[in-house]
Amino acid sequence: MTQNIEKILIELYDLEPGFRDHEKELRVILTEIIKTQPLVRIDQTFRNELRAKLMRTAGGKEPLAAEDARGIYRSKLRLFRPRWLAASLALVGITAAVVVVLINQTGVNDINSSGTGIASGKLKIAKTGQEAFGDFSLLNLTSPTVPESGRGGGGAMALVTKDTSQTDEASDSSGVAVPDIMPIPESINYRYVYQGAPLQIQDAKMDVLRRQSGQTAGSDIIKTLSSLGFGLVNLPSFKDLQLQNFTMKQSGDNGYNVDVSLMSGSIIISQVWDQATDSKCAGDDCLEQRAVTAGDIPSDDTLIGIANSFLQDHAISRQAYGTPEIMKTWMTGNVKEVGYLPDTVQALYPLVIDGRKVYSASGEQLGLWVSINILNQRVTSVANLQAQQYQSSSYAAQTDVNAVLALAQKGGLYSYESADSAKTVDVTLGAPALGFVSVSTYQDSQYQEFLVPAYIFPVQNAPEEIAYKKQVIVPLVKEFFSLGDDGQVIGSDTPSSSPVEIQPAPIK
Amino acid sequence: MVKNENKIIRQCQAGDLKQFAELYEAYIEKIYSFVFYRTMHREIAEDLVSQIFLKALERINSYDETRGAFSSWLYSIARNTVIDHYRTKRDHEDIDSQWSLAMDGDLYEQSADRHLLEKVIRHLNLLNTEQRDLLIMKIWDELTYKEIAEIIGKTPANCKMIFYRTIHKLRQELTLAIAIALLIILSKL
Repeated sequence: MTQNIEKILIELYDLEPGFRDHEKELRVILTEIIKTQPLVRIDQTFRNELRAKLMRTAGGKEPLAAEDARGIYRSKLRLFRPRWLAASLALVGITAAVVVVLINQTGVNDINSSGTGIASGKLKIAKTGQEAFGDFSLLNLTSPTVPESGRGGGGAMALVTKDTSQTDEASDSSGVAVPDIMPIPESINYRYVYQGAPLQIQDAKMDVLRRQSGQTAGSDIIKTLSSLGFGLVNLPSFKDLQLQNFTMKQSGDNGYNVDVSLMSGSIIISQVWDQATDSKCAGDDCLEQRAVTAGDIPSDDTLIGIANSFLQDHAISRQAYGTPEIMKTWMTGNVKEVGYLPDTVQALYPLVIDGRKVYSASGEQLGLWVSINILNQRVTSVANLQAQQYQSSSYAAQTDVNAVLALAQKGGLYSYESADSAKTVDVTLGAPALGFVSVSTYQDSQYQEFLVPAYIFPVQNAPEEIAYKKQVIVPLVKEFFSLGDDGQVIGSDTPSSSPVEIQPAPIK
Repeated sequence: MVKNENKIIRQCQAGDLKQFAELYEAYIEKIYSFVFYRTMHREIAEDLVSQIFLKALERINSYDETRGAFSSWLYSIARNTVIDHYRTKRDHEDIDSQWSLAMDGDLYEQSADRHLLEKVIRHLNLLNTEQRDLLIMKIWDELTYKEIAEIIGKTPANCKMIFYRTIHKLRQELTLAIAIALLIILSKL
């Protein structure tokens, strides 16, 4: 599931980098849609009977008439109601779940339990005991609960290239429309070859960080709210009532929403869509008509200046972040293919902890994202503004350089390759830097984020198909090497009774 | 893709239809899932899947490997069979009406907050058939854009754009839904 989400997200960002600002929402939406996927269990008797019928037909013992099949199973049908409704309602269920999750997860800084104080964005790391966050090798990636290889025709996870399409429309003789079809794309695996200096890992122990979740506002703030005059219920009568999130909206033209998640300790600032004076563009037609040209894009210095001014105006600390950079992934790949330039660009202020940058498992740098509208040169959103408070616990390091390089060669954590691919392309990796990789667990609607020491190998000659992959990430905590290539635990006799899903952190 | 798939298909086209069993085993679960996601009914799915494979067997000679993947050809038959199924249902004249959401069904009955669900349904109804179809193909069926393009007869770039707009719209609608949910919660305070 994780790989599918990551792939979809990368594809979406390639098309619209502005989606990064909403990664948390997107991740929740995609997760919930996948989680709500109906359980499919094919009846083995049916499967065998149909196979037998096909073989009888193929052998000429039964007529070749597809319409005959209508009678085969129709007798078993109960009176039914249109089941597209059920499918749609499944999506509704998804969405309802998403809404509930979002209500519980949107936006924060940190209001303490009395509701009177807000924590700063200063980095704080509190030391705890050894291996205090549990055994990472026992954390288990879950898979969809559908039959093996029964989830569609995608299959190959390696990248595909070489679109040698042809466009003639075809139809078969019996009225089944056969749309334009194209040759099956070539599937390629990538082997990452290390060509840096010999590595040495000397530290036997390394510190893993766990982000401190936010706090909810407790009884004091509920008492305050209850005095606002709703007059419908005595809120304090609900024992241990907590406020988890809230949203504030700035009125007037070009106002902002400020979503505060007390639970996760983060804040998202975003321009109110329908209050933007020059952004009444919500429909498909308008999206098509809105055309940004390369000449509209200001210089990087201008864009960073706009972002810096916004942060300064609103007293948003940059202390935990490094030198900002305008991200230009939208200049390549699929954006060219669809001839679409986004109307916003993003400045990334990389998160830096103890001098080390933080990455997602797929190699994206993490940090504070500021989006700037190209046309009106205003900040449209600030995302991933988080309280930087962590617990630290030491874990045994992976000191076997060969094991580290072997994982790097495969593409690092959560890499994947197609078993069907007949072609392998070598990609060069340079000398690694020490950094952190962010991974998270998701259980009971709660995320826990860990920053794990990792080697960050720069990709030096990536072909265009994987140009987005700038780094290969290899965690340096030994327990991660008990995970298989796909994140599944291997060699574990006693898997967790309650599987926990590890997901790469949001790409922010 | 089954090993030696094109060779098997050519054998079928040459008259050795027994080889079709290989294709059946390779695709039965994928096609069954594809149909089940769109019918949510086991027996209807079995009925339609039977038709799909019999059609494929009957028309195997019309498949041209130079024009695209066999999987896409098979999914095209599956998709059209499902559409035909709904078009023949007496209460519904077109596929779009099948997508009209109503306040019935198990999910609704099981909903903890029908009022909220009603609001959300209104927003999901804003997705058109194409958007919903592509959403399911991309996320539940895990098809690639190229495969989806081959099935629905658009370019991969078009499919990407439709998916992007679907997610964009869903996100916007969800933002509204969140606001509505908050209002509901506040109204209960």
